[in-house]
Formats: sequence, C-alpha cells, structure tokens
Amino acid sequence: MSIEFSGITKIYGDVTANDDISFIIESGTIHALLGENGAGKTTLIKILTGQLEADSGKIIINGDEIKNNAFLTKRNRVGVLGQDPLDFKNFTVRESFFAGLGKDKYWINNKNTDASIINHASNYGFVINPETKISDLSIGKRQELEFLRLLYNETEIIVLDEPTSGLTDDQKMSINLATKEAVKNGATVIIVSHKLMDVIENCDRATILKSGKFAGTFDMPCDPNLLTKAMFQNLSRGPQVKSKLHLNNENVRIDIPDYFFTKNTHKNYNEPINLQKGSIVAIAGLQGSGTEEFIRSCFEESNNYPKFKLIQKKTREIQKFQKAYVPSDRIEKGLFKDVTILEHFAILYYKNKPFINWKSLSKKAEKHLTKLKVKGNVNNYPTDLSGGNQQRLMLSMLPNQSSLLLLEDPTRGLDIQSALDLWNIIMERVQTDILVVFNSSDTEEIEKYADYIVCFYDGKIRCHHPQSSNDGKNFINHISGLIESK
Amino acid sequence: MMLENSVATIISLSCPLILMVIGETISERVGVINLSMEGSVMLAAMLGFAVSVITGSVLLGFICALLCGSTISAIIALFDVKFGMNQIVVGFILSMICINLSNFLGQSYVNIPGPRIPSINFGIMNEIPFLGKIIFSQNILVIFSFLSIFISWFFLFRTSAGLLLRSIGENPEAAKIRGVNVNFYRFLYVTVGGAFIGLGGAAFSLHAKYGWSDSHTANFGWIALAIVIFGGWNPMRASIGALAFGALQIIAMRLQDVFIELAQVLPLIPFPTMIIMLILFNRIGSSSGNWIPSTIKNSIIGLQPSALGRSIKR
Amino acid sequence: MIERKNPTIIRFLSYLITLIIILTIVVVFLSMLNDNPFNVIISIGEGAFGSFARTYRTLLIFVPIALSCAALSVTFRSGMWNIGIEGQIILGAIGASMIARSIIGESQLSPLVSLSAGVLFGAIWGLISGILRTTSNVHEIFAGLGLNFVGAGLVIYLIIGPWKRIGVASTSGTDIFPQTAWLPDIGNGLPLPALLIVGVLYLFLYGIFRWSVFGTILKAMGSNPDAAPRYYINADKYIIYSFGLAGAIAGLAGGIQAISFYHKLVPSISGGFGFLGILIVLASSQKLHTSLIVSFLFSGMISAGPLLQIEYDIHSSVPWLLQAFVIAAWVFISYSSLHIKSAYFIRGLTNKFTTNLLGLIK
Repeated sequence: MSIEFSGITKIYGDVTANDDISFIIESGTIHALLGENGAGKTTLIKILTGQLEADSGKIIINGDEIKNNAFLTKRNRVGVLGQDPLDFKNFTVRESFFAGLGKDKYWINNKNTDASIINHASNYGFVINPETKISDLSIGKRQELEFLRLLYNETEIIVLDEPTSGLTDDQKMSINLATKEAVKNGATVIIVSHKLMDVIENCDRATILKSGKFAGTFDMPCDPNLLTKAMFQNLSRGPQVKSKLHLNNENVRIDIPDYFFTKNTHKNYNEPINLQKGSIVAIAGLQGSGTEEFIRSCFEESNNYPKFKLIQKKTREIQKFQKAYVPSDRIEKGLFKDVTILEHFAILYYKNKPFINWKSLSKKAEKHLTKLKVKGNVNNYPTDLSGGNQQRLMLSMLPNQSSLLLLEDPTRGLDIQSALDLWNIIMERVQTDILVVFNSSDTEEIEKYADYIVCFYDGKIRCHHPQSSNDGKNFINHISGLIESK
Repeated sequence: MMLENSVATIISLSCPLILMVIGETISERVGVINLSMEGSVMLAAMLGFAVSVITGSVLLGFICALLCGSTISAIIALFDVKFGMNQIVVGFILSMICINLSNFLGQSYVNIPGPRIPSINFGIMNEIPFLGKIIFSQNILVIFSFLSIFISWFFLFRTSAGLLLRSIGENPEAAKIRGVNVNFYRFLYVTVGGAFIGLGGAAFSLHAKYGWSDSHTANFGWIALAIVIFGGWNPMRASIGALAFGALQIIAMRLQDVFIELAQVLPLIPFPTMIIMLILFNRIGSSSGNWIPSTIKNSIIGLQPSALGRSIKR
Repeated sequence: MIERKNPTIIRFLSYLITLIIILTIVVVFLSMLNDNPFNVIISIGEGAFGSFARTYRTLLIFVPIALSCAALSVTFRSGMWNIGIEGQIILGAIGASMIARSIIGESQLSPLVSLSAGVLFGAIWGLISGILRTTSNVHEIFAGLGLNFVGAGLVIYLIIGPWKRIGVASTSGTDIFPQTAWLPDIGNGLPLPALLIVGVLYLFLYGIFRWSVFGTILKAMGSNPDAAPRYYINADKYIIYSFGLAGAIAGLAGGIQAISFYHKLVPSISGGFGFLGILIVLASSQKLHTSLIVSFLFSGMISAGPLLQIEYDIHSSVPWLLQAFVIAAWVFISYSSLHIKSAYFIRGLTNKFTTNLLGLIK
C-alpha cells in the first residue's frame, strides 16, 4: 500500500493548514510524521482517513487515485489509533473487537470467536479476556486492544497518533513489536509522534511538516539535529523582548505535585519554582506531551494541581477568582456562540448586581475592546470574529485586578501579525499581573518571551529552568526527548 | 384454572406493549429517541382498524399500521440524518400532530365492529396443561410478538449486524472510522423500530383493546418509553416489563370495585420506577460504590447507549 | 439566530413570508373541511369573542397557555427540555386546591395563599427534574415524563380518595371550592386578576431576560455550558434555578386553573396546555411577545371549538390538529431558514427587475 500525497491543500479561513503537500510513503514501511503543534499533521491524517476533504490535491494509493472518501468506506483498509481510544466503553472486549464488521460472521458464536481472538493475541504475546468490559481497562490496554484488532483485520494502512502516550514501558515495547509485525504482514504504518528518539530508532523514514508546508523526508536513522532544524522555526536568537518593571518585591512560588515528575526528570526534581512577580513562564512541549493538561489543571483545580503562592510578608495561595484562563478551544470552551460580546462582559462583570445598565456596560466594554484592538462591535457574536480577534477578545475579558494568566496555546491558528499583536498585549499586562503561564510548542515564541521554561515530554516534566541558563537554550532537545536523564 | 386464564389474558393484552417496546429498544439502541411514539401508535392503531373495516382484511390493517409506524419514524430519522434537526423536537411535534390526526380521521370509526384476528388451532398442543392454555390458544399476533422478543434479542446481541447497530448507538464516531455507514444504518433501524411500533398500534385496535375510540391508546406511548428504560434497553427485559405492566392493569381492573384508589394508581408505578432506575444507572455506574456487589454493578452500569439522543456531526 | 446578520428589509420580508405560508396552510386545511374556509375563520372569531361569555372563556383558556409559554421560555433559554411541565401544572393545581379546601379557603386571603401554594408546589416539582438532571444525569425528558405521570396519579388518587366528593367518589372532580377561594372577576366576567397576573409575569420575565445577569447567564448556559467555569459560573446551579422558576410559573398556571377556571380539582386539570406551550415556544424561538400573541390566537381557536362543532360538524380535535400543523410548518421554516433564503431570493429578483426596467427606460 504505497501512499502518495500530491498537492494536498486545506484552508480554514485565514489559516492554511496544509499547503500544497506532496510526498510519498512507501509500501510496507513505518513512516513518521513530525512537526510542531499546528504544523498540519492532524489535518493531513484526517484527509487520508476521509474525515476531512482536501480543498485541492489528490491522494494516490497503490497507483489509484482515491476519490471522495471511497477508501474509508471499504472497511478495514485504513485503521486509526488516536489519542483517545476509538472504542466502545460499554462493550466487552469481544464486542468491541468485532463491532463494525470484523471478518464477516453472521452471528457471534462466543466460543469460536473468543478462541480466535485469544489465539490471535497470543501470537503477539498478549493475553486478553474477551469477557472484560472495555471501561474496566486502562487506556494503555485499550490501545493495545485496538492495535490487535487492526492486525486481526489485516488492515493495510495503520495510522498511529502518539501511540505510546500514557503507556507503561512494557506496553510501549509491545506496541513497537506489534508495529514491526504489522509491517512484516504487509501493512504500511504512519506514526505521528513528538518523540524524536523513538522515531529515529523505530521508523524507516520521517516526513516533517512545518507551518503547513512540506519540509523534507529523511531516512532513518539520522542525526537528530537535522530533524530539529527542519521542524522548528529559525533557531536564530532574536532580540529579547523584555521590558518589565517590578515595583514590588513580591515573589511567586509554584508548587508542583509529584505526579508531574518521573525518574527521568533532571536535578530540580520536586523543588518549587521561585519567580518574580510578572514573570512569563512557558510550559514547553510538543503536542501530546501534556502541556495543555497542565495548564488546565492549574485552573480547574482538580486533584494534583500545581499551586501558586504569592510570597510577601505572608504566603497566600492564589484563589480561583484571581486566575484567568484562556482555553485553546476558543469557541468550545471559552465563548458562548449565541450570546453577544456585550452579554459576555455582563456575565463577567455583573455577578453581584441584579440588574445591568447596558449603556454604561457598553462604554466599558468598548474601552476594553479598543484597548486590545479587537476588530468587532460589542453587539457582534463571537463567531463573527476571526480567530485572532477571538483570542484578543478573550484577553480583553479578564478581571481587572492583577491575575494569574493561564493561556493555552495562545497563538494557535493565528497568523504572524496577529500573534505579534497578541504578545504586545500580553507584555503590557505583565506589568500588573502576577504571572503569565502559557503553553506552546513554538520555539521561537518561547525564546522570545519566556523568562522561565518548564519542559514537558511524554506527559511529565523533564526539567525546568530560566531561559537564560544553558539548559534554557537547549530546551528544544529536552522537549524532543533527546537528552537523557543525567 | 383462574390462574391460567389470568396469565393467558395478561400475555394476550400485553402484546401491543411488547411490540412497542421492542421497536423503541431498537431505535434507542441505534441512538435515536422516538418521541413521536405516543402519536404514531395512536395513528397506526386508527389506520389499522379503519383499513381492516374498509377492506374486511385484518392482514391489510396490520400492513397499513406497519407502514404508518415506519413512515413516521422515517421522518424523524430523515430530519436527524439529512437536516440535522433535533430528533426530540421533530419527534414531539409529530406526536402532537399524530394524536390529533388520529382522533380527527378516526371519527367515523368510533365504536363500530370489524374483522377479528383468527386463532390458530394447534391441535393436541392445546391440551397441554397450563402451557397449552397460555401459549397455544393465543392468536397469531400474540405468538408473533413472542417470537419477536427472542428474535430481536438474538439479533441485537448475537449477530454481527446487531453489534453494528449497537456500536452506532454507543459511539458513532468510532463506528464511522471503522467504515460503517452510520447515516444509512441509523435511518434503517429507526424505521424498523417504527414498523414494530406501528404493529403495536394495530395490536391495540385489532386485538387487545378492540376497536377505536377517542384517544384510544392514550398514554401507552409514554409508558412504552419508560418501560424501555427500565428494561435496560434489552428487548427481553423490556418485554418482561411490558408483561408486568399488563399484570398491573389486570390487577387494577379486578380491584376496581374494592380498592378504587389503588386501582387507579397502580398502573402508574412504572414511572417512579423508571426514574429510580435511571438514577441508579448513573450513580452506580459512575461512583466507586464499593458496597455494591459487583454482579449487580456489572449488570447495571453501561446499559444506556452512550450516544442516545445525540445527533451525528456531519 | 441568523436574523441578527440581516438587514431590516430582509427580516421584514422573512416575517411576511412566514406569515403568508402559515396563512396558506390554514386556508388550505380549512378548505378541506368546508367549502368556504373564510367562513370558518370568521366563525372562529365569533366562537371566541362573539359574546361576553365566550370572551370570558377564551381569556380563561388564554391564561394557562400563556403561563405555560412563559415557564417554557425560561427552561428553553437555558437549553433544557421541560417536558415535565404538565406535571408541574398539576402539582400547582393540587397545591392551590389544598388551600382552597382548607380553613383558609373560607377567608378573603384564600386566592393569594392558594396561588402561592401552587407556585411552591410547581417549583418543587420542577426542581426535582432539575436536580435529577444535574446530579444524576437523568435526561430531563425521562424525568419529566415520569413526574408527569406521578402527578397525574396523585391527582386521581386525591380526587377519588381523600378529597372525594361527599357521598360519591367520582372522577369528575372534587367538590366545588367555596366562593371565597375563587379568583374574583370584574363586572360581567372579565377575569382581570388572572389577566393581570399574566401581564405582570410577562413584564417580569421580559425584565429578567433583558436586564438581569440571571437572564443573561441562563442564555449563556443554553448556548454552551462547557464554557461556564471560565466565567466562574456553576452551570448546574443555574440549570436548577431555571427548572425551579419554570415550575413555579407552571404551578401558578395550575393554581389558576383550579381556582379560576374549574373552581375544583379535576383529573385533566392541565388540559394539554403544557404540551401546547412547548409547541408554541418552539415555533416562536423563545421570543416572549410572539408566544403571547400565538397563545392568544390559539386559545381563540380552542375556545371556538364547540361552535365549530355545532355549525360545521367539525371534530373537537381539529383546532389542536391545525395548531400542530402550523407549528410544524413554522418550526421547519425557521430551522431551515427558508424564510430568510426566500427573502434574499425575492430581493435579488426585485433588484434584477428594477435594473432591467431602468435599462429599458434609458
């Protein structure tokens, strides 16, 4: 099953997710897809599996051009293992295995089908119990099961999206073995991963996407620096943009629970982070490495959340109402689609008063909007604004007093100019805010703005240090997992 | 003798409800709540009766009722799949239309006689003590509804087509990725469910509650919805629920003269029961209730099709 | 929802188109019943308002329908399906009846206390639905249906049991309440207090929706409850509030039904008005003034039912059937934006026409 992408383009509004992408994946190989967040990997995969339709370009499989998702409907041609298991929580293992047509059996004779799947699993060294409910299994086991299912169905193209996230070491090894088995049986495997070392070790080739464009295909094994150079934006260290006045000598301390560390974490294991008020903290990591969850847990305050403490004469923990959260899913988690912008302001600012004075609120809201250069009217709905403006809108709707800003991927989907403008805004706020914590995989962004960097890899913190330190300059290697534990 | 007769009557009278809950179970298993049931059952009952009176054929009446039920369900499925319109809105509006339509069109058929369903003579089988009376002296319809229970159960839980159906109701996105044509099967099975509901309607007017009158099948649609739930979306359990309800009705009838208040209230028991069951499903399912024996826990959690009521993103 | 983006002329045209389509449906429907549909329409007017007695009855039908619509506007605003409204109306009626039958029923204060009890009982019934939804994830439809039946059972039990008529237990209802318990009328029978209640309530709701944070938060919950935490709002709390408020208003309707319309408790005390309210609010896209007007028109149709039966031999289900069809068409038009698209189409045509005309003139 050789796969050729030819001129694939997909545009969302003013963002080009895939820009004329052309390359070939040879049959029977393990081919990795690398790139930062937002580079376009997920979009390309979705076009391959038929979940999205490309605006232009074609996909050629084994020499035949594929037209309108015809490929997907021929069941078992393409199998996907996503980050969230695509299985059926309430089914038993046996049912989830066969749902959607495994081998055309008309009725499910438990004894035979059970024997068949137990047998199949043991060929790869897995033990499964057909009776177990899927919901009783861990995510890792569910992924294993899904993989087994793809192998059982002799799926010809297997796509693995961050296949080893959340797995134990043993499970990772077995997935890797199973991948090699699949290829032996003639399948073509595409892996999307942020773990460069794994890719270099296990894959045959790797294609890099950068900002929606094709940035090269490399044979494995190869020098990791070649890959990082191609993946990330210019590694040039531009002028630092720092203009912070710290009026008070207040410090902020971040206590991070053990949950976020592993034995691979470097020296500063478990030590709280001490920063000056107004610092900018980057939670650096590639997609799937756990940075978003970290920021979210800071706001949601579910168990195991990092605690922020303001240290003056007394130490006090920063309360929820002092935290301002800007989620990356702007419309889904941050805004109300059917509610005007003015009404958003009302909800935020009128909590304790019974009635709203629309006129005065309108003036106040407009001031906020102009301050942040939001191109929009208070009577617009959030969906009327462009992505960049929505982001600015979210920033304009923050509590006035100094707050702990938690920004999830703030420049995701924004063009360069909007991103620059956004950061100007943030830099202005920084004078009064407690801290700005943002997650990103954009290395240029991190270099430019961050005072402090926390490096995430594979769901855990590898290390954390100031930007100015040596480790700080090397953070790219940390987030790619290239530097082993000391 | 008394017991035999009562049991036979219960089985006979529960037939419509059994057909209805089988139909709705199929529909909900594929993820669609058919809120029009109250109306479509009534309309199917009326049409079935009217057609059988006009043509003199009970069979034609049933066919007509079946078509009626499937058509109305197909409309819901169409609006859900094609237009993305909320299945609950469409179902509710259809319900209101059908209730009034059946009363309107049925005016001239109130309280008039019509043809009856023939019984089957099983010969010596009739002589079997107990079973003979309760099963083999019933008519074709009742026997059909009984067979349907087992066939639908087998289909849903023992065939791969049934597995496919259930997977759409559990996680349509995952089913889609596995190459299942979710829209087609949703449409298909909702219509099939509607067919059963239509048959259930005719089972009222041509058998269990003979004839037609104003709002003849009143409330049975909502009752069926409740029974599907505390049958755990399983046709066998739902049918037991339907039988239990039938038993309640018979008991209520017998008690009528003596315990009036109880008699009126008894048939309403399914509903608080349903609510309690739903609470249990959720509480036990999500909590770490360690005090609940795992057998009970396993038989209760995860029964509700996860994608019930959700429309599929296009 | 699309209306906000459109110029006024389009909006006006679209309303006109909707109106024309609906009127066409009505005329076609009526002409299938009778050769001259316009006569039927005039008779509806007559039957509803032809005499003081008729107007009185129409207004009394109008009140619970309008109140149901008000209650449902609250829950729909927060994104919930309050199918349990019938049960809430019934409970309100029970509460009011309880007071009316008691010692308080003899005093002048009775109507006030009755209605307050109605509000309380209805609110409780609504809160149960809301709590089941938020704490146990019980779909509000199943909870609502269940509670409807429990309410229906409760009312029947009371009517033939503890509250039965002296001597013979009958499902036709309880004994009539003492006069003092009734909601008073003005003059020849204008149910002014009931109408006043409707008016005040609608103004109140309008105020809440337009000027209060609570109303705005409800709207936000209906749009996207997932975004609530970011604004420090507990979505569950507001959903429960909306059910409670809706239940309270529905209970008020039930109370008025008991002490004003029937002056006793009957099994069919909610009269299907709750479900009718659902239909109306669905069609009127939760706009209060639209619901009010449509409630008024529909109550006229229902009230004229007996006259239509006598004069044209039209079955009692016909007004309800016609209403259901109208609503179905209206909802379809709204959801598919047929009216907007047609408006644009027409504007396009007129533009082309005028340019051609101008071209000819030149």
